[in-house]
Amino acid sequence: MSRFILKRCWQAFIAALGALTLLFFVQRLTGDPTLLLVPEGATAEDIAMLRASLGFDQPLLVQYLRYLKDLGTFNLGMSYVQGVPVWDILLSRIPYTLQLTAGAMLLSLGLGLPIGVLMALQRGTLPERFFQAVVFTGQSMPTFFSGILMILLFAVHLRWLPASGSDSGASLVMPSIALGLLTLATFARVARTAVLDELGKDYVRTARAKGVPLGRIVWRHLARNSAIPVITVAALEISHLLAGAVIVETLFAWPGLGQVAVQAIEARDFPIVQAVVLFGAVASVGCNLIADLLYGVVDPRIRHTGGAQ
Amino acid sequence: MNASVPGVLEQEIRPLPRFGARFRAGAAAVPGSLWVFIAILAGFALMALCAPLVAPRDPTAQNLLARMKAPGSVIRGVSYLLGSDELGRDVLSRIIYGARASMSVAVLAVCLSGVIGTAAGLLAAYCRGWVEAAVMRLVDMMLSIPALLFAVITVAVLGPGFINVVLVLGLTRWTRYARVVYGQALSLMPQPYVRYARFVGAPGLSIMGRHLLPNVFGQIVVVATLEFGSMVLFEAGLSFLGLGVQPPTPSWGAMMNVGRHYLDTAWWIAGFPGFCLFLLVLSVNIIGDYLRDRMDPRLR
Repeated sequence: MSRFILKRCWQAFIAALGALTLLFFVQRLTGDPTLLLVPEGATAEDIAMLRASLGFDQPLLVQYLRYLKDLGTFNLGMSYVQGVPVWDILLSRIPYTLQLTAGAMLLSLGLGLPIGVLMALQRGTLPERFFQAVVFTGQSMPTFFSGILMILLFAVHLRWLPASGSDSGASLVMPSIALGLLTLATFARVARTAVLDELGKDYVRTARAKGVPLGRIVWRHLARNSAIPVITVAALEISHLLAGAVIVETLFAWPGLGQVAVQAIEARDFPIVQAVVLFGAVASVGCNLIADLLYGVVDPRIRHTGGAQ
Repeated sequence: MNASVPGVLEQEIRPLPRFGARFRAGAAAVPGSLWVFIAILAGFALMALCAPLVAPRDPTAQNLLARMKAPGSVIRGVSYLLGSDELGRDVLSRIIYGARASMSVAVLAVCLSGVIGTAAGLLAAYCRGWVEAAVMRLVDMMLSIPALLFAVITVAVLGPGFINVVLVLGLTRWTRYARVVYGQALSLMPQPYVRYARFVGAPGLSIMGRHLLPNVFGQIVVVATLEFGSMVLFEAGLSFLGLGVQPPTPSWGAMMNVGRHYLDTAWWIAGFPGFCLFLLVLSVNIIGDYLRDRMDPRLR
């Protein structure tokens, strides 16, 4: 078991390192990142000074090693506009994004999984076709359009919920739904396929032949056996949610990482943009690692052989 | 050919029906409700292609006397079927031209990423060894960065604009093709015809192009269809954040970004482009899903 965990941690570390390296080179795409950092209208002298002070005149390899060292010591640099460490800004905004992501995840798991199971059990009936339509709608609805529709209905016309801000728990409702809709559709599809796959197997037929009630079969047998694809998708979806948060937070003025990233792009405050994307990459690698470790918990066969699915 | 078992072989090596006949047979199998979505997609494509002919007015022409007029208003003999925006521009004309921005970015990005991903997948499956390792590790790395965030930071570095958005989406979204093509091509490698081609010394390019590619092409089309929907959404998302096609060129995402500030007084500025976006993506997803089910032998 510990070998399995160690191996997965090592793989996740390599993936994270790769993602960070990729990001480093993306930022060097234009050759000189100093130009991204200076305010418009800076003199050539200012630019040269900043370039030297940030070490961008050094060879690429030296820059890369310094970048890794800074990351290793959690030194993300200073914000150029606000003049405070980027790490502090990041820490103050992370809780908001986590709340939003958790809200969206809760909604999509809580509704998506039952819908998917129901679709599989009621195959070919009217309820299935209804949910199919719901899933297609969720899948094709851009977050900013569902957000705008909800603002129109619940904030402008009915005045039930606040259109923006983060003053109360009610503010979290619409952003979570907007962000979670696509994920809900994905979960429903995955759960449907996973349950359909399992329904055809012998142990289910045996259980049904013995007269085990359907609810018990779903709960005791299908849930665990259908869990692996759901866990895989859940880990992937967290990275989608983090990216989707950029748009949802902008729309609802939710003070999370996404909003701070968009504001930073407008203000040309590049260290913050970089930090947010780094956070997203590390978080999604982390979630995939957790999913890998959960496979071992759910399915003892994986734990013992240590093999990949 | 072995003449001693004529029946078996003759049955198996039936010549394919002519393309026209195959097309008619395929079209007849398409369920009626799907034609609705095919028509919607074709409508949007036509709108994008013939924008100057279809659009009632110049999408950038401002009329400050006709600001934020409701859909159906007629101001001095000019009718605004879908209303006007905060600068008095015709929303319908802007939506028609916006379809052009959306679809051209999506088509070009799908082509670019499709070519890159297919080439990478074929190379990885054919060459194996370090090429395979390098390609598949790169795919893993790119997948571990949330796609929209990756696009956002790259566009922020390169600067917004039509070409850059196409480049960024094309260069970041090839991973899905690479995975699908790699998996398929790998399963084809032990096939007799591929082994025979290698045995007689056919060059690698010819094996990849003439033997592997035609057999994975169907899968590529399915991925491309579904990716087209994602690309439309990505373009709209980037435009919504101000990183896409730049004004004055109209784009749906940018229209929604402006319109969201006027939701209580002029919902149509954001509402109609949003609905078009939804309709387009829904049609593409439904068509893509149908194609995928048709391609999947388990579901047939």
